[in-house]
Amino acid sequence: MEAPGSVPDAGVGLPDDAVVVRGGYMRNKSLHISATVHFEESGETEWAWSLWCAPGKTADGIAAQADFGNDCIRESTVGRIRAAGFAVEQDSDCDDHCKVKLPGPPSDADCKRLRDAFDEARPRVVEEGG
Amino acid sequence: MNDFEDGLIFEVDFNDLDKDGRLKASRSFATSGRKPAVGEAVLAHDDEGNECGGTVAEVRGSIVYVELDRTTWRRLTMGDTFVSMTTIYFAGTQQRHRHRSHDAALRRCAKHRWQALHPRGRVVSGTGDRSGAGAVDVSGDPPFNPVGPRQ
Repeated sequence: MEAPGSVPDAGVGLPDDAVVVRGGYMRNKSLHISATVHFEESGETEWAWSLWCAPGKTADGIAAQADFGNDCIRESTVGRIRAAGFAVEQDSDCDDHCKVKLPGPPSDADCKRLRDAFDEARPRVVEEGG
Repeated sequence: MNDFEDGLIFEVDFNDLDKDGRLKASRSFATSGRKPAVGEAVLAHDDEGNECGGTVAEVRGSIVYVELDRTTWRRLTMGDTFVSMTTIYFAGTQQRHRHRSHDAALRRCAKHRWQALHPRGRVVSGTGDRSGAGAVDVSGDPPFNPVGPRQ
């Protein structure tokens, strides 16, 4: 297994045990919006979901550094998302993100499949003074 | 036009932040097709009851980059299930002197939008509303905002 933080190939090198976090409950509408934003920002060339991921960090550590304001998070790993049939790559635009590439606009079934690869939502830990 | 009669409201996913922490909102999910101006106060909300005011920092094609004013972050909820704080949204007693325009925008837009969606609900604000975390239906759409009396 690669050492945490060691990602030799940003395109494919995310380790399976890298923790992936998403703020909120991952409802279908949010996932549709997120994929559409990615598609439009890419110049309508790529459908994907961008997820918070930083190899070597815990979910709470990732969430603490993330700027999203949702008061709950859902947690998974790169390996679980891959096992659900998705391709996961590091997001070259943000080094604390990975992206799940999609062949087209996500269906509700795609959203559920991704959601099922995550743990249930739990409160986000807010550190004192943070 | 007063401060928010023609205000833009974006439905967003608050996970969609760029490397500078700016929220990425799509004009495809805005309440109006008009192009926002840089510096304009806008409102962003998701379908989980979260909303936050902000200022347009950049517009690139259909993507609007919004600097969020996190002091305006609120979670709108419905019914007793979610209410763990009793702060009523429109009480207006919080100190937000530096953010009057956002506050006015939030009040007007959120009130109209929320009342349309939740005619029987209540609005609460603030973070720490943990108790209702599991109550949101995550099995898929429709969202958590059933209109009309609760079953």
